[in-house]
Formats: sequence, structure tokens, C-alpha cells
Amino acid sequence: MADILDPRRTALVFFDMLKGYHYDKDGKALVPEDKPLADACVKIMNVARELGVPVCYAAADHRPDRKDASPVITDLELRRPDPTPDASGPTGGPSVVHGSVASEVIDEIKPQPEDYEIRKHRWSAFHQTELDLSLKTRGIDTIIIAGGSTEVGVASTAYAARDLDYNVVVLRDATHSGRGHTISDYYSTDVFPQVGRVRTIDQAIVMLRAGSQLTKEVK
Amino acid sequence: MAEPALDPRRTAMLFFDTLKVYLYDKDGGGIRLESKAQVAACQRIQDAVRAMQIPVFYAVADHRADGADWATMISDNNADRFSEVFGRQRLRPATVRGSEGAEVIDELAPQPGDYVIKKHRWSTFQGTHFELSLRTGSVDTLLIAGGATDVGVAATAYAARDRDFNVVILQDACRAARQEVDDYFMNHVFPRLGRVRTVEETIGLLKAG
Repeated sequence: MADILDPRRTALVFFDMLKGYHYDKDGKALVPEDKPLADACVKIMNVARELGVPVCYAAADHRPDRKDASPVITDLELRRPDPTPDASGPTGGPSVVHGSVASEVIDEIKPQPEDYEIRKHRWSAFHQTELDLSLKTRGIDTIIIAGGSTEVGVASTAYAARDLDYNVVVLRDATHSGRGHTISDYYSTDVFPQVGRVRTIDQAIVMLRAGSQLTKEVK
Repeated sequence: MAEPALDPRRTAMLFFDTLKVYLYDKDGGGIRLESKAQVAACQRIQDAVRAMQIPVFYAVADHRADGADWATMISDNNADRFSEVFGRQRLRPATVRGSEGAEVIDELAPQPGDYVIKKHRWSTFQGTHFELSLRTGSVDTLLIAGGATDVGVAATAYAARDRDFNVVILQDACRAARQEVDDYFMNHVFPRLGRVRTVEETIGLLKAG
């Protein structure tokens, strides 16, 4: 099986690359430790745009009144001090609300008019959104995923994509977890290889260019 | 936040791929040595939920023998299980429809009135009537047992979470191919999307409810 990616059948999905997660408290600039991640996203985005690969942004979208917040009971929630001092924490409900600066995609990979902005209300980018429809109607069968958090929305999206028969390529050096590198590394080593392919950005770029070359030759 | 009890009227039990191919010895010697504790835990929760009239669901892998519905996604692992079927590279499943391996183990045999969900991908929700059956039964909480923890159990748990079902993963009734993988999901993944409890703890929460 040739390990290449056909740009005509591939989409790039940025997952929750939002100012609320990667910018400083004022929402003005990247926090320094996320600079490498943003650089990595820019690198793959530029190649995707050059090769005509559609760029999708899965972005958390929550009502300020929390009426659409997930109600499920979790251990992390049960372990929180009671009463919760700030109800807008990452698992306590939406930390990025609709219309806020925090809910905007980081400027470094700002969406363009032809891109897909997928407003999602739960973890998976496929859950009750137009992502599947948008990809299917373009003949896309492969998604490249970047962003985070790895074990939360990225994993949820990857599992869902796999069950929808999409080929999944997880970018090892462009995914991150709010809980540290170990978690991302764990998924890249032990979980994602059975869901799809785990590649570095440079490997994915080589695969895309090889696919692009091949389609030109066929023409 | 104090832990709420589990209301047996709103709770369903899911046995995930508790099939002979995964849990029985290939030589016909019954349950594999390494699966005995897990199956015993499954039997304890089975007895408890049946006594409380909690609906019991089985997620059972179901694949056509001719391969027309096998998954087509490319993955790094299992390269040896891919072959061309119906013009596509497809992943050969562990069992096909009608084979003995595809049956639920005798120890957990479905009873009349149970729900047997034939699933064709990892998640129990994908392309099945599972969600409809839970909603019409007014279920808001799922107890999950079976395996593999990092494969179908995780896919189902992520999907259940996004559908606003409370998830309780029965730690001692689940199993991954490797213990460290199981531990990882129990410690770092499932606590964020639901609760991880032993069978005994879960029975206690159900009795309190």
C-alpha cells in the first residue's frame, strides 16, 4: 500500500486551536510555550493551501448561559472542590463561549473565506455538525488532524472518523494535550496507530507532495 | 460534589464484544486464563443488574463473511490483516457473522428481552439503533463492561459522552490486550468523560439509587 496522500481527497482539520487555549489572558498573543505548536500548524496549513487541500477548523461553541453545556457526571468533576469557585473551567462547562475572543481561532492560522469553520458543541468534531457532510460532498476520504487536546477532542474525533471510514492521519508534532506531552506521546504510540496513521508534519508534507505529483502524472 | 447514586430505572448495562473469539481458549478449554477474573466480574454485575430489572445490552461485532462491509481505513497497525476485497483494501475482522467466535460467551448469554446490538464498526452507536433504544427506554446512564478497553469500549464511551449519557466504566470487567493500556485509559482518559468504578462499587451505587 503506497503511503501517500492524495490532496484531492484529503482535508486538514485544526482542532480547537483557539485563543482561549493558546493566547495569554488578555487574548492578545500566544503564550510562549505554545509557539512551537502554532509554528507547526502554520507549516502544514501553508502546504495544504498550496496544494488545494481544504482546511477545516473544529471550534468549541458554547452558549454564555451554559444551556448547551454537557451535563454528564465525571470523576474529574466529582473530585473538584465543592462548591466550584469558577463554573467556567475546562470540564465544568464551556470555557470558550460564543462570540468571545477566547472562541476565535488563533491569528497565526486565521480562517480564510473558503475554509470550513465547524462549530461543535461536544468533543467530537463530527457530533451533530456539518463536518461529515462537508467532507463527503467533496469526495474527501482522509483527514489530517492537528490541535488538541489529544486525549479529549482529537481522540474523540479520530475514533469517530475511523468508524465513518475516513483515513485518519494524526500529526504527532502538531497535537498537544493540556495535561502535558506524555499524554500526546501515549496516544501517538499506543492508540492512534490502530485508528489510522501517525506521522510528523514533515512526513505528511512528503506524502501530500508525492500524491500531488502522482495526480499530475496521471493527468 | 457528592457522588450521585445510580438510578436503576435510568441505567442500562452494556456488555461490549464479550465474544467467544476474544474470551475463550482457542483449544476449546473454556475461558482463557487471563480473562477469568474479568468474566467473573461481568457475571457479578450481570446477576445484580438482572435482579434490578436493568436493561441489558450486548454490542456484538457483526461483519459479512464476503467482506463487503469491512472497514477500509488505513492504519499503521494490523497491516497483515488488510487485503483487497470488493476493490478496496479492507481490514479483516476478528469474527464474521455466523461463526462460533461471534457468539456471546455462554456465561453471559443473552436472555429473552435483552437488546443485542449488531455493530459494524468500533462504536456501539455507529450505524446502529443503540441510541434510539436507550432514549426510548429513558436511559441516561450506561454501565460498560467488556473489551477491548482502548478500542470499542473507548470509542463507545467517547460517543456516549457526546450524546450526554453518563458513563460508568466497570474497571474490573473491562480488558485491553495489554494491562498498561487498560490502566492508562482507566487513570487518564475515562475520568474526564465519566466515572471509573469497580463492579462492587457500582452495585453499591445502584442499591443506593
